[in-house]
Amino acid sequence: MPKLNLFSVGGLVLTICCLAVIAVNLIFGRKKVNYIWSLFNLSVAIWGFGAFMVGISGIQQQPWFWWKINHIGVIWMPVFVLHTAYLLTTKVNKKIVIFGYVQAVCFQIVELLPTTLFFENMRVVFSSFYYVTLGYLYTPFFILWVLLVAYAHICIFQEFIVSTGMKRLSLLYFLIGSGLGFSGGFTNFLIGYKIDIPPYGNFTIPIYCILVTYAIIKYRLMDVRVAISRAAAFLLAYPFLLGIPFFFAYRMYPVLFPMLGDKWWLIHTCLMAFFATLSPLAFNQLKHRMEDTLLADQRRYQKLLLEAASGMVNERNLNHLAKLIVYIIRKVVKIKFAAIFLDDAEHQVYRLKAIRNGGSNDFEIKFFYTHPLVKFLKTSEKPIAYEELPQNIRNSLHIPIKFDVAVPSFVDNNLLGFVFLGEKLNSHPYTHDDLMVFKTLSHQAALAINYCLFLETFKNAQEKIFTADKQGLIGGMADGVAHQIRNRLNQFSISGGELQGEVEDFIAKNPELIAQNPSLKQNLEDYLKIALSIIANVQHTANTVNGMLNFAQKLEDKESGFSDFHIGEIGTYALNMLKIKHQISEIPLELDLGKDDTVYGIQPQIMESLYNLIDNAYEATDEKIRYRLKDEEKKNYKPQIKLKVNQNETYTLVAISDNGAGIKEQDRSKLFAPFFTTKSSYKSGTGIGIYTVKRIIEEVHSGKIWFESEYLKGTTFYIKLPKRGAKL
Amino acid sequence: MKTILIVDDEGEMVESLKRFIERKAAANVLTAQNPKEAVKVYQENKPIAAFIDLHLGDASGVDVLKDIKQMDPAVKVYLFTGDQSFADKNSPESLGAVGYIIKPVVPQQLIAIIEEL
Repeated sequence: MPKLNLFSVGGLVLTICCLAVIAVNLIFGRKKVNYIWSLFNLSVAIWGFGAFMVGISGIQQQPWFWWKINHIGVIWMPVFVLHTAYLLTTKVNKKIVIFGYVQAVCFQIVELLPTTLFFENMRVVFSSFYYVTLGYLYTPFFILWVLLVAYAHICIFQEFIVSTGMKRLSLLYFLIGSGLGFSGGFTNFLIGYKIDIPPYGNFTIPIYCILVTYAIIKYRLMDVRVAISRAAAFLLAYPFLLGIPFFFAYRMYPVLFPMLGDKWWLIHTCLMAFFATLSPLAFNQLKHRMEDTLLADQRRYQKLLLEAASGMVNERNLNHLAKLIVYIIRKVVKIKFAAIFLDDAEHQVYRLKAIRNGGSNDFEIKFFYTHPLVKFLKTSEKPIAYEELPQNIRNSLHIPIKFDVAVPSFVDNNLLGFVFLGEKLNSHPYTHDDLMVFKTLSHQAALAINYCLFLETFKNAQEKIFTADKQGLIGGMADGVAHQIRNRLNQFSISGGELQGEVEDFIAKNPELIAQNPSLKQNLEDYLKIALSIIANVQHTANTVNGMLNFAQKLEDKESGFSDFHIGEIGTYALNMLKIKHQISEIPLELDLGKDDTVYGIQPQIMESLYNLIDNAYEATDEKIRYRLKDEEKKNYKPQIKLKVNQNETYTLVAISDNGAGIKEQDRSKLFAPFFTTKSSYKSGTGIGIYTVKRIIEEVHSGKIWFESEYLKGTTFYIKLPKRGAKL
Repeated sequence: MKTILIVDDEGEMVESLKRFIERKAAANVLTAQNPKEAVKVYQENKPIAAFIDLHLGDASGVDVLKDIKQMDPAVKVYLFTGDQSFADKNSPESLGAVGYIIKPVVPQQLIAIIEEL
């Protein structure tokens, strides 16, 4: 019958635990450190299993074999822990690692040989199992063992001091775990040196293995305070509470048995049920209480951030928004700096838009689209800690600020920008929870940024037309293209002339031939007609081009400020343009200019406005014919557009009316809104829109614009412009 | 028979004009496609008139006009242009030309001008 004692139970727990850790390491980690750490755990497991076997062997026979086995583990432990430290930090000297391996091999050979250099003899300890007494070689081995372990931990501690963020947290786990594990494991040596303290310490070793595994595998670590408080809550809630019934049964048996006889177990079974129900509740309560206290600050700012994020979408100015974002983040999270980079599509870069660092910020930073960091953020699509970035990206960052976390913002898979967060003022690392909050925040920010970008793009597009920019669409086209068109037309014209000349010459030189042959005469006359038709059409086309160019030149006439001009003339230019646009020879526009059609304003802008209003009127009649009238009604319908001018001393009133489709009641309020259109998509985008007309008339000319409309009957737009020196 | 010079940077157009004018106007037509060639042809042949396009690729027809005028102030020069507004703003006399011929040219008008030379 094997005896379970402290030593064997500790060994068994250790073995199971370490084998589990090895499995986890190999499943979740693929790096070298995972393999070395697995080897360390294997050595601990070997020791644990050996100890278990020693423990259960009891005192009948001396377990030489199992002592030899368990010390295989002991010999290799310091080597693997040193190697792990070598891989985790930059502080460990490679030569010492190699030395560690060499000495381990030597000791291993000696240990396995049947000598008394390592183990001299055995003695019974705690009256329950055999423990070895030590040979001459054991003490030097033990000293080296301690030195190697100490060296590994000193190196980790040095690295811990200079590192930040996740790395720091990870090393902290390692140090806490090691402190527990090695101090626990150390107690075994004491028995070897005949200081008989029961090896309770063995139970701390699994904690060590688990903690370090967590630190190695998990990139984003829980705050170590949280981890410990959870463990404490667990210990308090489960083993303690559930231990009460056992303790009760053990201590009260002498009292209960006489009272209840063989039904005595009912009492502690009831207690058991009670505490089993209570434990999970207690655990949750404890956990929350502890974490609320520990993380009060973090919870507070996470809540604040999310509140602030929902307010961001109300901001319409991109610069303000960028400043607002970095201000809020720095203030609320309490960090050294926050910086935001936004997409500058024109230059293919992400540009530093705003930074808040409590100091000077007069530097410019930009990341090209091709920068490794940009590429990385685009593919990872989530907040990332500096330490988690691949080495090559970290090396590519030549910037004057050092960030701890980079948070990208996406809308529809487009990287709109990213935020850099500096170290927290209290030096606490960023936690997984933090990063989750940043992710939500970044999504909100992305929406807000996108909205601003959208408004800005729209504004720019409108301004371009609004100010009739020299680089505007029509003007830009006209200059270059018109010259080309005219040269081609010239070629047509000359060729037409040539053809005409050839035919005329032929007729002049061969009068008899032609007189004899009537069909030839007919043919030649046809050729002449064709030649003349070519020449005439060329001239007609040239006129069209001139009309277009006039329009464009009027539009881009930047010199022109306010002047008095005839609106009838301007209306005609606009009309010619519209004929070209709709490819028709006649637009049914009727001009009623009254006695005087002078208006005071900026000529190109008024022309743009008229162009748009007449265009809308024409399309309203066109729509009516196409969609609103029945076939028999079409015969009697005659499209009409009127431009009527009325004057008095203070203003000119221009009315543009049509008998087209009219505007539906529900569309009327939206008519002056940006982007509003009822036109089908192929036509939309050709004009500047009623919105811009309204701005031209009201903002630039201090005039008024309004309309009256009846659905299916027609629409009239009114433009009221103050005369020179007058006010409306 | 009178000799005239036509300067335009488009070869095909120059050839068409040459064929057309020689047939209809009983004139000898010389051609050039860039300022350098124009000056050379002018020097060698001394035509009575030159028809020069305002746009000669990167060069300006006005410069050719000035070069030719320097050699022979009496030469008659007409300028081809498609730019009506340029023609409106700059009188041909101010540039030293007799007149503009607006592109696309009307063939009959061109013949009439040449016959009056």
